[in-house]
Amino acid sequence: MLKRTSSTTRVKSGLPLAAKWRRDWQMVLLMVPGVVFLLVFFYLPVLGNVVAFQDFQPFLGIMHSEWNGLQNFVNLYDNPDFWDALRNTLLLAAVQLLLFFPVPIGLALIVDSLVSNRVRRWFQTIAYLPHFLSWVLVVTLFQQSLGGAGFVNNLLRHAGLDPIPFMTNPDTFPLLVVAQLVWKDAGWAMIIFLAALTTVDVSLYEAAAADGAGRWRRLWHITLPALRTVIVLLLILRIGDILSVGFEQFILQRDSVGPGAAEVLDTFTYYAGVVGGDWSSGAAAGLAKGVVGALLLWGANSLAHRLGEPGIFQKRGQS
Amino acid sequence: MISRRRFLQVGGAVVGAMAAGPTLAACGDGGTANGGAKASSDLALPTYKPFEGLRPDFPGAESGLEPGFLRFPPDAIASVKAPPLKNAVSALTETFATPPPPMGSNPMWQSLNTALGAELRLTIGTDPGYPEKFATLLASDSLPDLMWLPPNQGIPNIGPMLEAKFQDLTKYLSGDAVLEYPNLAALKPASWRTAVVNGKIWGAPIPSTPFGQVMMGNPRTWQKVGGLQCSTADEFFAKCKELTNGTNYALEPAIINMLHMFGEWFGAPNGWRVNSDRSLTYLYETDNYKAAVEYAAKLWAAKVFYPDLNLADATPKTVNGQIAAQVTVGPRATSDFRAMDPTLFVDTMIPFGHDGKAKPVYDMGYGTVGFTPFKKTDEGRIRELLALMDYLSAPFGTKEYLQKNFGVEGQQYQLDGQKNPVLTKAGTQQTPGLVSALQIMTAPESVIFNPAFPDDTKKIYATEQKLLEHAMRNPTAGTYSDTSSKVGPKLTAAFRDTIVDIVTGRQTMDAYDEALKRWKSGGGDKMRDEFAAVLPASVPVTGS
Repeated sequence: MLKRTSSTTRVKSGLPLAAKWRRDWQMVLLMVPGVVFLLVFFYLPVLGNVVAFQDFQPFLGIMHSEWNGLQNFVNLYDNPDFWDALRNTLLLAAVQLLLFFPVPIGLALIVDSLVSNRVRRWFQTIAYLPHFLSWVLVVTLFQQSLGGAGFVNNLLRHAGLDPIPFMTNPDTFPLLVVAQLVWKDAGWAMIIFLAALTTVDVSLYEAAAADGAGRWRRLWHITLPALRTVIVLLLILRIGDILSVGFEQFILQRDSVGPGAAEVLDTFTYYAGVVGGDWSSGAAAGLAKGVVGALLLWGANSLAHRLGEPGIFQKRGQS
Repeated sequence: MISRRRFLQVGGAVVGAMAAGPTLAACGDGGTANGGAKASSDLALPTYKPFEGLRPDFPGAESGLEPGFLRFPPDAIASVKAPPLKNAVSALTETFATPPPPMGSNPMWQSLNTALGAELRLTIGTDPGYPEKFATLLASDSLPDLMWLPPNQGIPNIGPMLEAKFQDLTKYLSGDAVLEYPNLAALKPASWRTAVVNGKIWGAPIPSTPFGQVMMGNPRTWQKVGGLQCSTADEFFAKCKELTNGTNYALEPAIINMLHMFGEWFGAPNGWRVNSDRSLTYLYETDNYKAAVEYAAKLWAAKVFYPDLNLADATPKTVNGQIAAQVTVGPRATSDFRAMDPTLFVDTMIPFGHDGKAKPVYDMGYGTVGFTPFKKTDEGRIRELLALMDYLSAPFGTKEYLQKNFGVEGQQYQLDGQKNPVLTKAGTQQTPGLVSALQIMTAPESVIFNPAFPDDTKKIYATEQKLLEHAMRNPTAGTYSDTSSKVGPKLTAAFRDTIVDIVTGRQTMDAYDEALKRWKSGGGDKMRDEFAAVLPASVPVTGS
């Protein structure tokens, strides 16, 4: 493998550096802001993770805090709250993956099938809009409509019925969370699928229709295969990011359903690390989360390769 | 916004900041860390020289009773000879009101700068989030000249932190040295104790009302059931049920705060109970508190709590009658309701024995909101900063007090018929956020004063006298435990999570003992030992 890589490298780098630079300098220039951004806000802070191996005190700083090896990870392992948070995170991630992920695809198909351009634009705008609301507003909206003192429950009370604890039942909390997520972000997530749909060759549909393929067969044999690469790509990205189920959404509703249902790794990190002053434990939990995320990303990508999809990154010489 | 109140309950910060919750014993204010107990007892506290030339209408007392003033003294006295500053000063503080307009567009702030002699550049944090801001600033190593250090928001490891980064002020303030700063000399020794850590003085303390949380109710709502005051817990329960119908509810959904009130009726201790053998029992370990939790769960099951736990502030709903009672920072909070409805003076619940026979307690607060240490610097600068603290700690009735709290006459305030300062329209815009930020980092000894409603002062004074009959102080106040300072806030938060689960029916009472076990093994037992080892002999026995 090593050999092959080096040989392809030589083939690819046929041009001398100066010539390559002349050809690509605009591209490199375009990349600079992005690279600087990543460097300053992602790669440099990563170094701060060393506090996970320290008994970090903000007034002593990283340089003078004591090192304590893997003690923070041992403490995490012994902390039932951490395991609760991990369990909740995985549960919520699974529910989100199952119930949220398909929604934008369905929405994109619906929008794509709308004939009137006017209706289509209206629909798109309305579907995008909630994405720009903050979680505080989204949760407030849900609270005002479904909360204990909200619109629906007040109606029920007037009708002499018992109120329904939509917002405070820990058992149905994952469903509530997904409902909020769908309302807020499904429209926005649809964009990328819509873009992929525009690349489908219209003549394929015409030919299929001429051959007598109905609406559903066209969907199954033309549209979905065309979307497949994008779907797999987004799925891998989602899996790599799966432990980041959200922060504000949970911290805002943590008291309504209790930490037993709403504590996720990110809120655990916040409460243990920042609020509780145990910065090192928080960093250790964050680091553990990052490592698991990276493994998942790599696993999902390898799986995609096996299935013959390009995935998100390839070995050199592939594609 | 939505999460504010919730943070307050969970984090144990204090609404309005003027009083510390009683379960916040976990707030090392210093004194005995690392064998500093002896050093602290050797230390000569600043000489106390009360401010002369002012006679309150109702006298204060050693018990904590606050002096009351019906009107502002007509000829405010100057307590400071010259403007304290020559160079600009930066400071980190926190506001509990809406943040003020920035210095550049805030005439009130500018007039204060003029009076001080140089710019006072404040970085104003908001609630919640102050400890995070404090910690990140500390880690950045570019500290402002002054940083307010709250005793009860869980900033850990105060002792080593002060030694590492802040200025030891002992030689400028200990004993008679303080007399150079008369307004600082007018702060009581009890207040100064807050600012002593490792036997050294680290800043000027910030006295606040010595009273703790109380329950307040709208009398127009409660008159339907014969008034707010009750003599048994069952009576309270029945009244709450009666007041709850349709979209009206008896109680605000601040569970931890409400539970604090119920605990007082059931005789739970203020933080720690001192047994006759001088051993300590924590609040959570008492049957009294456990009974209060059960009682709260019963009320919750009866649906008398407002059903939206995320309610940010119950005050408007108490004013309009949708909620009948809420918990406030202390007996002076009646003014918050006056501000919304000038015709409303709310009732304050006086604690009663849960069965009509048991002895209730009333938990006094912490008495100060901490102190403001200085960044390490040279003597000239130290003297300048001390002069600034002296100015900002000017007592009620002085010119400096007026400038700090009300601004300039004709601009931010006017004198009403009784010659009391009342904010103008511009004043209500420019002052509250700024004044709150100044008051949390510097303060004189507290007084009761209600500019537009002198009668309120009389009533609050009477309420305070009644509350004092049941008063209990936290026996560990003024002492220090390393473990409490380090893990106390985390343990409290975890235990409270379980309590809220129990009250709201998500877990059964069985979870209580499990959570208590974790509290003990997680550091609770260690805290007990540390506090017991330094328990002052003057602290009275409060249990069997």
